[in-house]
Amino acid sequence: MNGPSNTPLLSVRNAQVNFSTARGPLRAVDGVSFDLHAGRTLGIVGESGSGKSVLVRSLIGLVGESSGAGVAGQVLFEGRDLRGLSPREFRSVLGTEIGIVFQDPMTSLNPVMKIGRQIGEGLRLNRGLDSKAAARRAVELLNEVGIPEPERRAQQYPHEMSGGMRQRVAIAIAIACAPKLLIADEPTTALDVTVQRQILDLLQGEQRQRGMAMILITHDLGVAAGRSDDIMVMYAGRAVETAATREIFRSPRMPYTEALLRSLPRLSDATHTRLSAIPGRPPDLARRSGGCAFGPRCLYRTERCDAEQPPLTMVGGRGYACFHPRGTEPGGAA
Amino acid sequence: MSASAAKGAVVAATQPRRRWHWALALPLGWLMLVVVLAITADWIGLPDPSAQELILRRKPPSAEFLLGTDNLGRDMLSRVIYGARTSLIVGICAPILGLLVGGAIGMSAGYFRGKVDMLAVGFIDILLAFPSLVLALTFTAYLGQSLFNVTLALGILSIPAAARVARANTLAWANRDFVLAARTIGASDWRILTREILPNLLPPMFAFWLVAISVIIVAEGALSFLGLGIPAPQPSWGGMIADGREALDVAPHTALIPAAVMFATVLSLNFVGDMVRNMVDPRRSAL
Amino acid sequence: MSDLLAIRNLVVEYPVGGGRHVHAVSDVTLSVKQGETLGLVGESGSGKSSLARALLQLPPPKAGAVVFDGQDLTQMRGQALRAMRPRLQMIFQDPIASLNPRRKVAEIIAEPLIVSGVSDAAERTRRVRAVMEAVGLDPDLVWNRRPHEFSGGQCQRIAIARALVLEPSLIVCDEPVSALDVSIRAQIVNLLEDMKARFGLTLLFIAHDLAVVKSVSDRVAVMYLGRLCEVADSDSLFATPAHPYTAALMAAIPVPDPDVPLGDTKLKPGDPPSPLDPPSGCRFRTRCPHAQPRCTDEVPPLRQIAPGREVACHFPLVG
Ligand SMILES: Nc1ncnc2c1ncn2[C@@H]1O[C@H](COP(=O)(O)OP(=O)(O)OP(=O)(O)O)[C@@H](O)[C@H]1O
Ligand SMILES: Nc1ncnc2c1ncn2[C@@H]1O[C@H](COP(=O)(O)OP(=O)(O)OP(=O)(O)O)[C@@H](O)[C@H]1O
Ligand code: SF4
Ligand code: SF4
Ligand SMILES: [Mg+2]
Ligand SMILES: [Mg+2]
Repeated sequence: MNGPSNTPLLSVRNAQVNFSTARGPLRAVDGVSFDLHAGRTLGIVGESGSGKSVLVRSLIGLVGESSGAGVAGQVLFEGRDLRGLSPREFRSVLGTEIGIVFQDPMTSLNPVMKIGRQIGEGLRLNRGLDSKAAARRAVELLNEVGIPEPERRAQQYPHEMSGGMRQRVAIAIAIACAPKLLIADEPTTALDVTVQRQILDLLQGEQRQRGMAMILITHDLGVAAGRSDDIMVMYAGRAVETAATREIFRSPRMPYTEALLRSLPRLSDATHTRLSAIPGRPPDLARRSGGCAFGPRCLYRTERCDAEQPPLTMVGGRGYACFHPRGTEPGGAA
Repeated sequence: MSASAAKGAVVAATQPRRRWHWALALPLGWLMLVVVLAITADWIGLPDPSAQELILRRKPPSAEFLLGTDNLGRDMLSRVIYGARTSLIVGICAPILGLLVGGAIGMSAGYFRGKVDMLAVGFIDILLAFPSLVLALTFTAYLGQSLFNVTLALGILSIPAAARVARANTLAWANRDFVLAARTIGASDWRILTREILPNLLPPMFAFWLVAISVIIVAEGALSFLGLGIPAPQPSWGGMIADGREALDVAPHTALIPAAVMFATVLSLNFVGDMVRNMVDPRRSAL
Repeated sequence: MSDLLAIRNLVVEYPVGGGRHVHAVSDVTLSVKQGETLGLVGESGSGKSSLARALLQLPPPKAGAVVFDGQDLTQMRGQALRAMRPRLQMIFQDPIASLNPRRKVAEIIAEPLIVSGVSDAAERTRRVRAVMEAVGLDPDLVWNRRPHEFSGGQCQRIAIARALVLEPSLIVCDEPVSALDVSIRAQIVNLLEDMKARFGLTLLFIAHDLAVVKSVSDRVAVMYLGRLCEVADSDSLFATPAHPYTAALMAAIPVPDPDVPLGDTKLKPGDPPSPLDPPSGCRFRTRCPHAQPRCTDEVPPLRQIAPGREVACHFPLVG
């Protein structure tokens, strides 16, 4: 809404990802749509297995036919349809216009290449810098992401660094070619709170300074609250609620979001305050029922919830997939 | 029912059992045939495998002698089947000996680590340092050729490999939290080894056993070939190949038939061994 | 309330070759009162799990005493120690790895009974069923299944049942909810609280999530790089942290409320130092915003600054 222009940087329509497993077909992402404007941060929250990683990986071609998954839907990046790109074209988009930071930097960094070289690699390939200039820029980037003694560090290998440092290096690589979109998939889950704070500050700082858009995947609602403009809540492969961050936390519509927020312990509560737990457990994606996936755990479920799947309904700039949304007059949706 | 399911019990209550691979039918069928014939050899009306009929030497396969006769005019079919009995006894028993001794050594080494491990690894290395066939040859030459001694010799040869399999797997399991949990309840080392770790070692050890059977069958053949295997007149596949080699030009079937039977059996064992390894892992089959 | 457990000058080190050691726990003195929940927080690698394992003698610590109910566990050996073990139980972070994949759920929960000599099978069945029901597992549904058929939350229930079946006095919970789905965590936290009340347990509760720790703990101990920074009752610790590291930790908590501004940790830039070669003096000094020359020279001892409040800092923020 208040993005710099009205055409979104990234526009996803009805994204689907299907895997075929020994237990039958599994729809990991089921019809997800969203828009992301330049300079904004979209937080994607949801529990383990809700399809967050698979969704974003499918957007950038990391999950697709080559990895045995069936993908469908439309992905427009600056008006270009990414789904039509060849693997080669994808690589150049990934190197220059979209940067990615994963949860575990150890798996995304090359263990046998000096980190200075790894950072410079993209600059040489995509920006045509010679290796001297790339090396110089790599040191600058290391400095920028807050690594002390960047010249010396550039000559080190990933295993010689701590987890927090490695994540900084991964960020340096991701932003080296000044991408327009940064995707961070649980960038701090493996880190301590104090280091997590530093890394998130760094990500947010870079994002603001460069006007990048960011997709921040996390299962930590605290992280999402402090770092995102908008939030998309996923449950069992579907987007079940999307809204501005403040609205989600102030007045969740979807009973799952509400229950999740209520189940969190609060620092303001007295010790031994009983938590309001959500009964049951997340559904098995290979055994979907016809109705609302949250139904078996939902306090407000009715017959209709079991019979049909609630679509994501957009009302007043926010969306929810529920027949009986909270905070509206009874039966307000659809 | 759906209420109790929602209460949340079982993620994967109804997993399809892993499908039998059709390609497995052939090797399994063959192994079954070999085993059944070997067991029932005495009752299916076979001619005496040692009965010589010198006028009927080196006859090719015919209606009377389904697989022909050998150098001394003995019925090849009968000899192949009785030979299966010998080869299987050696093949099955020798690795069991190896697994019992080597398994115990390997498990202790992997579980207790430290000095025990050093001793065990040293012992294994010493055993491995001897060229294995030479060791077996010396052994049977010294103790005398008999079914028991050949089995014993080959069993000892399989100790180091079995110990290594057991040690590597024990190392992997002994660090898991459930072993720590067993210690917190005061379980003794013996109980942890037998109740917590051993069940997890059985699948890899079973797969090892299947492969070892095939290796031992071949090794027994090699011993016979060198004249130090199971003593005549008791038939064994290796011994038959050795005998048949003299007449390769005039009666190739005398060597080729036992060789083919041995080959098919060894190949089948390896197939089934691989398959079993994949199938019995509870987490892998759950996927 | 009396102390159920007193840890004195505990040291845990791991040799890493070349004569060097990881200083995982250095000179920690800490007590847990009968019936309370003591929270233990700290950076990853600060030695929380090492402390937990050392107090269960798995393996015994390099030095120090662990006095449990009047007896020093570090002086006990063999059968005497094994006889003591059922009274101290542990719940692990990865519930799936903490259950033997080859054994059935009923066997897993019955194992402690067998080991401690309950020879009557009917009696065992009765107790296993009772504890399954207590932790919210339907005995008829789970009895003959194996762990891989269950979700993480269900596995954690099984692990809790196993820990409870011997009716222990103390349970060490090493990050019992970290590996669980967010929507499951509250269930398990509530379950632990219920079990604590029902069986009169004393808990040592290790976790990263400070809000969870605050919610369950009567007192909280904070560790940094193998040493204790601060021990206090949880309300005062969270309201007015006395140690600069505690303060940084509090400020770094991501609060699930967009209207709460992000706190300032005031940390000096840089990463935690290596436990192979911890800084001299105060181990936090390389990141501490209040560090003075004295912090390099002198190890700050853990001292009482108010009743029930101990801090290891030369220049505490309160007191
Ligand atoms: N290659 C694959 N083959 C089959 N199923 C897969 C594959 N990759 C992911 N899945 C399934 O897709 C679903 C979504 O997984 P995904 O990794 O996106 O979850 P997530 O929300 O990122 O969870 P987490 O918080 O654990 O990272 C899961 O049920 C997962 O088991
Ligand atoms: N078996 C071991 N051998 C060598 N070093 C070890 C061993 N176990 C732990 N360490 C080291 O000891 C230090 C303390 O580890 P510990 O697991 O106790 O930390 P922790 O506070 O539990 O961390 P986390 O929050 O990540 O679980 C770490 O530096 C760790 O790398
Ligand atoms: S659609 Fe029904 S079951 Fe689903 S969340 Fe809404 S009220 Fe609950
Ligand atoms: S002793 Fe010094 S360095 Fe350590 S926490 Fe206190 S002020 Fe900081
Ligand atoms: Mg993920
Ligand atoms: Mg730990």
